[in-house]
Amino acid sequence: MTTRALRRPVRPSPMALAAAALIAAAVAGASALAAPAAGPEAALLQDSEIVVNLAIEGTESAEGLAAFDATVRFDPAVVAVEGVAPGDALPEGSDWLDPVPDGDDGVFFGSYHEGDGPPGRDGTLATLTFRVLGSGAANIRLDRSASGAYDASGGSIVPPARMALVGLPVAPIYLPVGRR
Amino acid sequence: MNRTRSRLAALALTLVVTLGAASGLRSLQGAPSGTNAIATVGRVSATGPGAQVVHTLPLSNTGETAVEFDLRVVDAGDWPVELPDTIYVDAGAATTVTIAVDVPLRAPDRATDVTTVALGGDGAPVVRLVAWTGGTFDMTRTLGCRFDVVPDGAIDAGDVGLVRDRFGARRGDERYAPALDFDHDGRIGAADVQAVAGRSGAACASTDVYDSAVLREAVTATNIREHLEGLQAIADANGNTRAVQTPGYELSVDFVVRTLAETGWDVTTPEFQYERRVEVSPGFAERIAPDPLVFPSAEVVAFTNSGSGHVTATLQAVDVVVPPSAAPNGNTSGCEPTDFAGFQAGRIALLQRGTCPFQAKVLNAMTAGAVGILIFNEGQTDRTAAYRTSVGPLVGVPVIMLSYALGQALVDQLAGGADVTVHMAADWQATTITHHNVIAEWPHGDPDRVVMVGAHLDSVPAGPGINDNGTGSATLLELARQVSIADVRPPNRLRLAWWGAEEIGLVGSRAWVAQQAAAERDRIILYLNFDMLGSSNWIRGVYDGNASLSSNAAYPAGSAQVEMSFQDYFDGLGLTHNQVAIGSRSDHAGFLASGIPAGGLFTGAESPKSPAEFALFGGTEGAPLDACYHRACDTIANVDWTVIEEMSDAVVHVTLGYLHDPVFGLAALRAQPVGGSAASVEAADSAAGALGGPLLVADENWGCHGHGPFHSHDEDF
Repeated sequence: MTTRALRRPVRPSPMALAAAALIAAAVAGASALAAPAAGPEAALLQDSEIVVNLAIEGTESAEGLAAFDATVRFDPAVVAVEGVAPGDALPEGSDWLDPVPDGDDGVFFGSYHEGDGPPGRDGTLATLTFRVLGSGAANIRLDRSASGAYDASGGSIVPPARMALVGLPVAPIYLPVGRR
Repeated sequence: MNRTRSRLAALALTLVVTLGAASGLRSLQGAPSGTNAIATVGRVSATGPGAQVVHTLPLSNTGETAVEFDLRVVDAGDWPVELPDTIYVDAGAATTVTIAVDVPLRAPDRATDVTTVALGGDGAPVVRLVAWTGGTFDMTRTLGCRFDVVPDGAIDAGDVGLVRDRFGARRGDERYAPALDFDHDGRIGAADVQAVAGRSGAACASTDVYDSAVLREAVTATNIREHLEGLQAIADANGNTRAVQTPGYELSVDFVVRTLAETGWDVTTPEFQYERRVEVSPGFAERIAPDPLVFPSAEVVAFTNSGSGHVTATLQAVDVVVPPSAAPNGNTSGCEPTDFAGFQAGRIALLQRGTCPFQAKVLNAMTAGAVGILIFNEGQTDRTAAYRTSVGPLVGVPVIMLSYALGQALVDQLAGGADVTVHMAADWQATTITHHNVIAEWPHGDPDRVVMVGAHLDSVPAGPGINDNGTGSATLLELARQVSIADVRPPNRLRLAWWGAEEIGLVGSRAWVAQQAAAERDRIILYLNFDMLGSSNWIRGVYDGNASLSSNAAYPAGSAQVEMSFQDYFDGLGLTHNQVAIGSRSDHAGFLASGIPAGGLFTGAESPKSPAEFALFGGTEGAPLDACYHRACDTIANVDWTVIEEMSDAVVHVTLGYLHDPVFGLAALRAQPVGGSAASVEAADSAAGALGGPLLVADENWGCHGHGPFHSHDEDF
């Protein structure tokens, strides 16, 4: 698996942005993580996209966000990862760590920051785009046992419980009969 | 990343872990107050951010009832500590407590004592609290070399790149490396990349100029004592000994290995074997003719390492003196080959104790064709009984000691012109014993320039061996710990050795040297040996590397320079010192025989303090330098803490000096021999080749070895 450094966030696809807008509306409130999971209520068609955000809160009271990593799991028979892009919570000039598979049902990704500068903040750490492959429950979830946020020394700054996926599909993904 | 811990300490700034027993400690048998005592713990320390240290602390219940207690972390700051659950210790038994400490990556970039650990009660009546209060090591040098993963003395983009290239690698993957998993969660993640990236631009200690002051200050008698407490506890729980062929030795090996766990040292426990001979049935001797007589068993003792089998042959006396001289050693029976000028091959030789080692008498007799050998005691007061001693290495014919009375009677018969025929038998069976040395290598520095430092770990059966040689072993352990804490990155490579079976003939070290290929031995630029560093009536003895005490000895080139290094150090501090003959009575012998320069320190064994030594060092003139040498009383109470502090500092200073020496080494010194000659080196090389295979024969004379290189061999003649 190759890695590359992205000095600025990658712009997600228009569809992802649309979905993210829906998510943002859904999660707007006192806490980025307090809102219930939200997302398309209608069945999604094969080859359509699902966009979810990985959000974090509680960074203001910690040492300062410099890095994070996360493992997101899913049902590989239902969805596949199309891409993972950095979010707006990361410090300016962060270096992106390209996603790597974590078994058959997971993806591991993250970022770090070298040098001085203001730390990151509460908000979106990453935006994940999935493509629908088949019918069933996508079961997209954050593996908190393999996720964390870190300060400039690499020390953990907030419990993984302060990280969450937002914008998850509420209902299972159905494919219309005859579509496949 | 898995941040969960079963017992995560509460957040606090003070770095103190206490294994409290206030709530869980109880006597299983409801012992009355004060009848139980749990003792021996130690200090838990770590080496800065990202360190993972697993400490194993010996624990012995010196009380009269079994105890059970739960451990809990009272306060460990935010340093995760893992503790075992309930500990149960039988009365008089010993166990160990394993404490794992992960130092967070956010910790200050310096070496730090995590804590004082105390096991036991907080005043609870049945268990006495024993605690050490450790300080904090403030190292003046920049640490953090663990993040210099492409070792070049600086933490830079190359280091960051190496770690990020492994992003996502998990334990078991080819790309995974424990050294890169700074947060010890089993995967190279963003925390690990950030740990390096966050320190980018910093220097590490690899370019430090040699200065032993920091490490000398860190290697203290107090710390050494903690290791000695552990060795003492092992002996206490195992019959007051740590000798090979007892559980106490293997537990000592385990103690060293566990103390070094997770400190960054590469630790191995190579096996060595030796042959121990066990007497299956007692030695036997009888006169067949004239006047058949079975000799009383109390007056017949087979020598250790005697050959086995039955022999019946004519007896012939060799240069005996009966009646004996007034003073011991009044005969030279069998000492010279010429004594056997008239000896007829195929006979049994009748010899007399005195003047030269038994081994010499036996070898001369065998050379003359003796098929059996009887040696009777010389005959003076206290030199009349038959007793068990060794002939040295295994011989091929039965060798039996007789009382003087039996010997005298046989000599009288022979003098009267009788042809005396004797039947004699010895029955020894060989058993192969396997033990382990402990070898620890600090994985930094040039592997082709190894500074090797050793101490023997075993005791004699008669005692716990705390001065001999717990002191040397504990000094090396503390040196290892502090090298790890300071993350020393010397140009040369440091290898430490804890030898086994030194007390029965330098077996472990000789076997290890013999196991090394010539090319591997050539990588060792010198060997330092430390055998007894805390004698109660001490001297500051330095091995005589320039052979100034021996008219007929020459040691490998470089040994003299090692001697001078110690002398210079003591001179610089205004500390008196003296030379001790280097000899071959401790573990340096195998190295010298291989042509490797060697040196060391020694504070004294059983020899009485001479007037000259008294003038130099004070103490008690005429009293043994170590009155408990090879005795049951060689306990932790037998150690002089002042001298071990001084000697351990010298160990640190000279060891570090050679670790930073770019020139010293046999290859460089062969052109300019000092003390030994080039010829002597070649001879030593030849001798090394004669060390033989890995199977050695132990000297059954427990106690003949191990009192340093410094005394004439008490061959017991």
